[in-house]
This record gives sequence, C-alpha cells and structure tokens, in this order.
Amino acid sequence: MSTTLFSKRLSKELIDLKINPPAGIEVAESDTFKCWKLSLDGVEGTLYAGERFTLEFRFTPNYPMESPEVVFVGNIPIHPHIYSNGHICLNVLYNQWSPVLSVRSVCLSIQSMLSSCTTKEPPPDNNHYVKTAKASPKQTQWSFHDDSV
Amino acid sequence: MSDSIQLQPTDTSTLDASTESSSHLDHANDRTNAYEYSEYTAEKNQEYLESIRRETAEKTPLVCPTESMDDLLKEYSQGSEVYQQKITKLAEKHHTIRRCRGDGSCFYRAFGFAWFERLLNSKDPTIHQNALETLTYTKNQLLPHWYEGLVYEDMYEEVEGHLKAIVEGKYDSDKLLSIFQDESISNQIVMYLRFVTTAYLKEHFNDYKPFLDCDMEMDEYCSKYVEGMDKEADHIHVLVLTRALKVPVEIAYMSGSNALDQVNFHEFYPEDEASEGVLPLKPLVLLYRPGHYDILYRNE
Repeated sequence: MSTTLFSKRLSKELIDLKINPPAGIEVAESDTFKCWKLSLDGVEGTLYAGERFTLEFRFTPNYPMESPEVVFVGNIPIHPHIYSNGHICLNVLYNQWSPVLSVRSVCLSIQSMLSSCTTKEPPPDNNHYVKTAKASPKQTQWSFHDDSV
Repeated sequence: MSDSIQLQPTDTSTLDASTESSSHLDHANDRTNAYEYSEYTAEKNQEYLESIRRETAEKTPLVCPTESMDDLLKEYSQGSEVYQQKITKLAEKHHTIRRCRGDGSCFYRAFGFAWFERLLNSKDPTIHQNALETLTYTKNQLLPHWYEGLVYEDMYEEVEGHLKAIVEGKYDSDKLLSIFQDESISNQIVMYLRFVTTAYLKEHFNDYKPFLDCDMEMDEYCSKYVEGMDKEADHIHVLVLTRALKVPVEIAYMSGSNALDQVNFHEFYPEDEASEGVLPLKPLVLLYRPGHYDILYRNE
C-alpha cells in the first residue's frame, strides 16, 4: 500500500512541477522515484542573483509520511544555514516535516531562505560539522535557534 | 544506541567557535558529539523522551483487539489505588477497552476507528449518508482553501474508499481492525483527520485563537502542533475535529488527582446537533490517561 501512495503522490508532484513550475525552480532529473534533482536559481535582487544551484531529493517508500532527504550538490551556496557538504539546516526537512509539505513547498522554503540572506558566510561551525557529519543530514541532530536569517 | 552517546576527544577551537556563535546562529550537532557542546534544552529532552516512547510504542499494534475492563484493572494491580477505584467505577457502565499505539497519533487513530466502527454497526442510512456528505464537504470545500490538492487527495481517496465499503456493508469488524493495523492505510486515515483538523482551525481562526495557550499565528500553530504525524492532540484538536466531522465524542479523563471514585467525562458535541437536542450518531467514547487515548465501549 505504501508504495502506492508514494508513487501516486510523486507522479502527481512531478506533473505539477513540470506543468506549473515555480519561478526559478526546474526539475532537472527525475528518472526514478528514489532520487530527483532540481535546479534552483538565485532570485533577482538578492545576494544569489545570477547563480544556479542543484538540490537533490532522496525519497523512501514512506514518503510523504517521512521527509525526503534534501541536500545541495555541486555548486553549494554560501549561506549561514548551508554547510559546505550541501547539508541544509531547515526545520521542515527534519523535526517539522509533515505530509502537508511537498517537493514544491520545500524548494520554495529553500529559495526563500536564500533570498532573505543578508551576508554570504558559511555556518560558524562549518569545519567541525563537515568533518563529523554522516552522509545523510537526517542523521544529524539539528538545533534550530533562529528563524529570521 | 550505545555508540551514539560515547564521548570523544574534543577539538576545543571548534567547540569554542560553535558555542559562542550559538547565540546568533543555528548550528548542527552530530549525534556523536551532541553531549560535548550542545546546550541542554527542554526541547532536546522532549525529543529524547519521544524517541524512547516511539521505541516502546512500536511493540504495540496500531489498534489492538478489545480487552475487558478487568484486564485494564490488572495493569494497576501493583500501582495507583486511585486509578484502580476509577477503573472500577468506569467498569460499571463500560464493558470493554480497545488500546491504540501511543505514537502521538492515538487520538486521531482512536477517533477514526471508533467512528468507522459506529458506522459499521449502524443500520441507519441517514447516518451513513451524513457521514459521506460531511467527508466529501471537507475535501471539496474545507481543505482546498488551505492546501494544494495533491497533498491530501490520495489520503482522501483512501478514507472515502473504506467509508463507502463500510456503508455498503462490505466490511466486518475483523476487516476494519486489519485496515487500522495496516500501517500505511492507518496512517493515511490519521493524516487525513489531521488535515481536516488543521484546515478547520485555519478556517475558524478567530473563534479558536483564544483557546491557544500560546501567542502564535494559526499557520505556525498548525505546523508545530497539528500537521506532523507525531504531534499529539490537545483539547482544542478534539473540539475542532468533532465539529468538522459532526461526530460527537465523550472522553473519560482519568487523572490521579481527582476525587477517588469519580471519572470526569468531557462531552464534545457538534454545535448543531447539541442545540437541537438530538444526536443522530451515538457519541464515540474514548478513555484519556495522561498523554494517551484509547477506545471505550459503553453498555448499551
């Protein structure tokens, strides 16, 4: 049954993203329901204008009950909540995930996180984190202190 | 689990940098290092307790077969006398209990099961028709104001499919139990009930704002306390879901502190039915013990 919900839901999301893509967000790779890549353009008038990034989504058969694993790959944005290994500190990807969210809404949250950034700098504990983190950011115990950056 | 809490040599330069900066920025703690430099917070403690609770809970079926009130009483044979007396009192009018897994969704699951079971046992076509109409209304009128269709449509179809099968007499009680024990189906039903709760709350924001014991906007409240699969239901969630689906519920509150031989019942009756003095559907009866809901069966 879970496979049914998982594949039904992802098929719908894919069609929706292709027919009605949010500004600056495009599906780049979606050959399987295990892993998608989406391109994310920095919004004009923000620190990331003119830059293009790639987000990788990994799904388990429990999606959407369980959150997807989401990381930046390739060119990683320099941002106080984004580690240089591509891991993103954003609560909706971890303890605040809910099935009301979707690939689209996650991309929009990340785009908005980039847009509201005022200083391009890496997280203060970047070096330590990147050395010790597991491959999946979902294995990290995140603490969320600041919603405003 | 054991290797995740071992202490490792600390790189003090990084430690200082991260602790100093924690006042103005997020930082991540890898599990292996969590005990070295993460501050102790109530939130973390809560997460830890929840992880223990999850591990314990996974040994219980999502919805259990029924048990007698004597079985419930035995649970307290070595324990609280207050609880023993209250259960004895409760057993005068209730013959059976059905436990649900304590995974943060027990209210929604208990509600869903008890509601479907009422409809299964009811032969009244009006009651069946009303239930289907109310459910359709939530999908066509209530949810579209607040969510994109693709996030709830599949779950709706799951709920509607089972409800129709019940109304058409295709299910018996064993089948109903097996549906609620199937994790995928059961969780989709639970999630749809969460959708209904949160959409109704958002729709009636001004009515319910005074009930929230925190100063939050409704969107933030719903994402923090309703939408997630492990977010427990409070008084307000019960109030809202019973109104949204027009299903009356009575909850027996068992706490260790009240008068010995009394069990307080809270009645959650949808406004329309209560004001007209008629309740077409007999109220579902749930048992609340601190942090947990199960289903009760009243002598009828």
